[in-house]
Amino acid sequence: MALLRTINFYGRYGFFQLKERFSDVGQSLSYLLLYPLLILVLTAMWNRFNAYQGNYTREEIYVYIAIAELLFLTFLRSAFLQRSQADFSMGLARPRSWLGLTFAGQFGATLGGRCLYVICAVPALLMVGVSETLVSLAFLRLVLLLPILGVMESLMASILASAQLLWQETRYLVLPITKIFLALGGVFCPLADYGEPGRSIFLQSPASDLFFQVGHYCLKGEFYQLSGTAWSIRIGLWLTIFGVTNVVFFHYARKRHQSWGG
Amino acid sequence: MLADCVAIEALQLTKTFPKSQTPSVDSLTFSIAAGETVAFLGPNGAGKSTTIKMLCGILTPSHGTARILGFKAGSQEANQRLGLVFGTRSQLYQHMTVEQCLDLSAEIYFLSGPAKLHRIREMVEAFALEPYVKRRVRSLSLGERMRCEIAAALLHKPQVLLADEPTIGLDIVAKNSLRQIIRNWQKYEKTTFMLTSHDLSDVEALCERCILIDHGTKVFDGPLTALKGPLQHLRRIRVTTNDAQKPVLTEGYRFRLTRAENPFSHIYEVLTHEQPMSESLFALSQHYGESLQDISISEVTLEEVLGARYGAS
Repeated sequence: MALLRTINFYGRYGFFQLKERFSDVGQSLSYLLLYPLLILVLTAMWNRFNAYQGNYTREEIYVYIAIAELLFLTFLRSAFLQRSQADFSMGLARPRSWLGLTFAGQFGATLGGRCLYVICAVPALLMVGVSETLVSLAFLRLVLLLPILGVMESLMASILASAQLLWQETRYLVLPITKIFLALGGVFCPLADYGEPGRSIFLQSPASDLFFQVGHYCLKGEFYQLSGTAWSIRIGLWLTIFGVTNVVFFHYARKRHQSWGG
Repeated sequence: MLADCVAIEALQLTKTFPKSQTPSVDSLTFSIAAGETVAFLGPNGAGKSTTIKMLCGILTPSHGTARILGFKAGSQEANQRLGLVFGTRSQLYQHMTVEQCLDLSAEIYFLSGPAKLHRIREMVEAFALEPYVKRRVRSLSLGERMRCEIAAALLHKPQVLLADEPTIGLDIVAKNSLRQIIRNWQKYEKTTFMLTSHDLSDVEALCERCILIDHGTKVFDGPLTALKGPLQHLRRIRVTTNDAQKPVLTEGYRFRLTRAENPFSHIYEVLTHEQPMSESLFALSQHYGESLQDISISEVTLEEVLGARYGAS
């Protein structure tokens, strides 16, 4: 019963963070309206450069860009990390875990935000002529993967929040990290269409597992040059690494927090 | 049982930060009974905030122990019974409405269901928050926000409230209103209240007892009146005259200090246990005669007392 109440609380906190992220209605609406435009522009760009010579059809590129952009637009946010960092002291004086709140907040905001973008993407893709079957299948697969992706990103967010307590300068790393994920993850274009040796190298990064492989799976129903089990093992490994790093960083952040007076 | 009547207890509390030769808080020992209102004072760098942070579990003491209602400071049991207000740190979310923030604060402290809604309604009424509940926090003035902060801190009915500079940056009207609300609330709920503030009018308005620390050690612990010591009998009499040639009264009476602020305003200080006020006023009215325009009497302020103490140390 107590566990259920705890889960319920963190669920509500996640929803609170989602509401906070979209609390500015004007700004949120403009983001949601710009998103379909972004799909159109990036797809046109990719098709222009690639001239449909890659591994995907024109329709698939639309869906791929929609999925990759959706994942990227809801990736790590500096504002959330800063708020988490600012709440660290108070978190130690409250009966709820700071780590739990940071994780739940990021998870709720990411998952909820992604669901909103899915709602925008589906009609937009149908309007540009992508087949209903492809859209429904791709987004169904995506929705199934969203929780596990949310967990992974929430762990990354809590690591970065703790890291900022340990080394203030790491706040400048959030932007480069997101850009690295943007480039290595195949957000602008699928890694499958990259030339060698870049493709083989990029395919090994967590960015590929989080963006490209997810996009590819949603389109084709299988991972690129990777079995479902292998992808799950890789994700499990990343989760373990991020989980352990989280605990270690939190422990040291709490310790270091003592040295500058809270 | 001791924990039944002691709300806050510090035993040999010491905090030495790494790379620092001297402790910020050094063997501090005090206890605060349930329902007491205590001011925790000291100059900048005296160790007030460090002590407060050790009491609420934000910092771990290097030595000694801190207990809240018998529970180790920082433990979940202690945190659940503790309310915190930091004037320089907001617990509210800027982009959310006050109502949403209060709801979240309540849930953080395990309040839910009808009990939560009832308590929020109670706080909205008590703190006169009705006009703001639907407004976003970012649109509130500092005074309005601080009222919401305190309401959020008291939502879970904490038995102990620690407030660190709750009126910082507020104008006099907002300060008075906030003090009035806290005073009423404290009387109503019998919350143990520990306040640190550089605004000593806060202290005089809200607290009965004062703990004074300097360089991390306790230098005074007792009622506010005792802090003033012999100065509690000191009264300052300002006389306004319309005769610029009128000299200051210097002889025949036991005025502690006499000086001319300007040719039309003279100041006298008198210790009322040495010379009754009636005698002083009689002497002054005799001396000034028809040139006397006005007389005002004031007590020595806590600022002056502490200023003198800090200056001496």
